Amino acid sequence: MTTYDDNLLAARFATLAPEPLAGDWNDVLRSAGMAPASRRRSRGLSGRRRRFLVVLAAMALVAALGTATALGVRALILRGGYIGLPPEGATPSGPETGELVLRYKGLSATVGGEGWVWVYADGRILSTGIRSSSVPGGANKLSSGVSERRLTPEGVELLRSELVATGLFDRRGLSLLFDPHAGVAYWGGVTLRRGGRLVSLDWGCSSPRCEGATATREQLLKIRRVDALVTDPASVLPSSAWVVREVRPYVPSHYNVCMTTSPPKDASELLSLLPAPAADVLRGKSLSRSEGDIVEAREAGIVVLGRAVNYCAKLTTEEAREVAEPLSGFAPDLRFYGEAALAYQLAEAVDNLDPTSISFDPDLPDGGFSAGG
Amino acid sequence: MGPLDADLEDLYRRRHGAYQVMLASVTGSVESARDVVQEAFARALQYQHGYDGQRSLEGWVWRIAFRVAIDSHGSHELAVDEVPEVAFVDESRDPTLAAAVRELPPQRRMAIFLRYFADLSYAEIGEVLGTAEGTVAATLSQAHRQLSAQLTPNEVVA
Repeated sequence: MTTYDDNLLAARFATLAPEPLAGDWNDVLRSAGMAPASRRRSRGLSGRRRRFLVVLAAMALVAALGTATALGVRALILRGGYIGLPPEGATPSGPETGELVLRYKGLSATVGGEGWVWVYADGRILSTGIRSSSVPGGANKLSSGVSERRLTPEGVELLRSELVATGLFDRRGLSLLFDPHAGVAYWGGVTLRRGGRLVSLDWGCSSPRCEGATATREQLLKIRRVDALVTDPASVLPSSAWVVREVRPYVPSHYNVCMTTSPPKDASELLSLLPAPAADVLRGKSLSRSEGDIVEAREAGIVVLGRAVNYCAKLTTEEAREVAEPLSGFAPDLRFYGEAALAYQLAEAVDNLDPTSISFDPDLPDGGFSAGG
Repeated sequence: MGPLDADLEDLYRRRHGAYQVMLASVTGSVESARDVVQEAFARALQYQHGYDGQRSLEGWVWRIAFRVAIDSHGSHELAVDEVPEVAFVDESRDPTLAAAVRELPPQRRMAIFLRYFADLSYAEIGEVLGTAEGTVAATLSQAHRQLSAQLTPNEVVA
């Protein structure tokens, strides 16, 4: 075929093609869990999840609603699930503690979105960040809060046996890489309690730095099965496996209240930033301390910007409310907007580091508290 | 912010229409293809550590987009060149061409679509399909020959 023929055919196909619809990059960012014009940093603090820095678009949204106060954010977060403290009188999820059977973190191939799932021996399935048609309305535009469903004991065993049947949990720790040219754009990791020990499976790293075997086509299909089982169990497990199949907000019994600042300061200095009633509650508690790097991903790689420190205390919901209520006039820390935590800014950032903030993270039945696991 | 954010945004702004039209051949409509394109770029943003930089960014996103489209179609096990349909086009605009394209085997149809709907070079088509450029050239040659046989000479050859 000559070039002319090629051009002629191209013109005819152009006639045949339907008109594309308008595309909006901001919609892409929202689908990716990134607010438009956001700037992301991750923090190397032990036991803490990655934090996102100030979400400018989210700030604009609050301003558009006529208030930049915590009240404005609260009005948003009460749709569907909730973020932060539950409405007064809400019944906590029981029992207070639970044995973890499974933990997942990843970018789901099944339902999309980056999220976390925890399954407990008592049947509870908690999740956050997982997008699914079965999850009614988010707590805000970026997060569903922490959701709860409940399996029967037989349902838990069915879920576990379905996962084991894939054969991917036969080894203590299997890491499967993806061929970077395969167009597979999801990743994840499951830790599963099996026979009294924890076995892990990780998939989806295609960086040359990752170690592991490249997944075969058969393994890819099994990974898809694992992904569907853990992120969309309502579509996979039979109705007989469920006690409560519909998604409900998770109501914890305790909260982990953490103050963070950079560069590091003493706890007493941070407590002095709080209104007296809030500081008094925390002074009576044991505060754990952890310190780590603030890092930012740049084209040249990961850059360490400075150090940060966390002070955390485990409080009952009512104690957490006593701390939170005097803070209602403080500006919300919108870095947490897409997560399951309520947070307020206590002081402006200095030297382009993170602002000083206080956050309220729901306590999970296994004692974990950060949504990032 | 990842190192590829700006490049992905630029690619999206320049090419999202081509992605939509091409992926409509898998999803069946431009409306559903728009959602697929959005999800594909979102995954590329989230998964950008998976891009090895050895081949084109656009080709990498095309592969993600096809995988998302095939998954949304509920056909997880199909390969990219097993899925293109013709139903999404407005056949009334060129019934002869539409009928001729329908007669093409799926692999040839996919190569033709990638060439004319996505406006990709032979090398880029090879990247998307995971085949050598020579194989693409051979497939397109066969497709052209088959189309020529069904279109009147004046319609294809000057």
